[in-house]
Amino acid sequence: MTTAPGADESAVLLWTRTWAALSALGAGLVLIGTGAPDVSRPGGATLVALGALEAGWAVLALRGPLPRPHAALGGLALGAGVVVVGGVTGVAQLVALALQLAGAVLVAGHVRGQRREPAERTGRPAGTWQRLAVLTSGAALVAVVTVPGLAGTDAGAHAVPHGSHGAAWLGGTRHHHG
Amino acid sequence: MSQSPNRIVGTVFGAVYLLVGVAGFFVTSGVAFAATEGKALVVFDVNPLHNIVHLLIGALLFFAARASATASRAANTTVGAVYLLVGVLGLFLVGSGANILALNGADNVLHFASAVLLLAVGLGADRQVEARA
Repeated sequence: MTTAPGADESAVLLWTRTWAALSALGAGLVLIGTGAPDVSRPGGATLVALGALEAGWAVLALRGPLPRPHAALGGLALGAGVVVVGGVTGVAQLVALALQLAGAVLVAGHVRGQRREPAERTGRPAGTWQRLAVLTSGAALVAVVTVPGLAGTDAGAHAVPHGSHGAAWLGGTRHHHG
Repeated sequence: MSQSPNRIVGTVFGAVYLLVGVAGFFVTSGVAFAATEGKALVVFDVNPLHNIVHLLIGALLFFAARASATASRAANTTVGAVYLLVGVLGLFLVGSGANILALNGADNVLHFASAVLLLAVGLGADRQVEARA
């Protein structure tokens, strides 16, 4: 029988890998949303390209194992730098910055964890319910952070209102005319 | 089944989406089929089209989960990826009637979390089933 990649991954490595991937996915989507309205200009195109790279890397990372961790660390740091240079002027930029920094810290933690858990001693593999708990909590947390970030982009501000929600922090009652 | 994360998630999400789809029809009488202003089901607004989408997604996830881990994994990955893809494409349809991702509202957090979780479980879990084949 062939062992699937990541089947014997410990709970800590599973946590750092999947949460890093989810952070990068959220950051990627917010960067795409931020750059999309200006995609024909260099600034907007850079953000969309960075966002697409981060989202694509996140999908590969969710499959496991973590692809090119050192390059990913550099990419997330670069993305955070681009956001800072562009100016943290709103919720979208703040969310993109926070998610990229969180992703970078988790990637670094994963690399360190791998060094401490060599291939021949990977620790106790994560069980089914542990996997589900890690993934569910990560998905919920990233969604709670990412959606206000997306709502804070120009694209989000123009989105068709979806009913009459009262969640002002999500922009639920905002009607943008522009 | 209890050892397959995909089947567990597919069964739970499928059942919830089916229940929400059926329950939605009890609150959407008098609402136009694809109205942008729906009626509240608990805190989430729905319209008849939204209910049908919930029923279809629920049926797909639930019955795939009952069938096999492989089918469930495919269904979870597909639904999660389509949700996210539609979301990304929607960002480029700013200001048009085709902007089908409604980003503002509590239900969008739930949709986004569902999409991310389904995609994560579909991509990452039960890979030993694939490796064994």
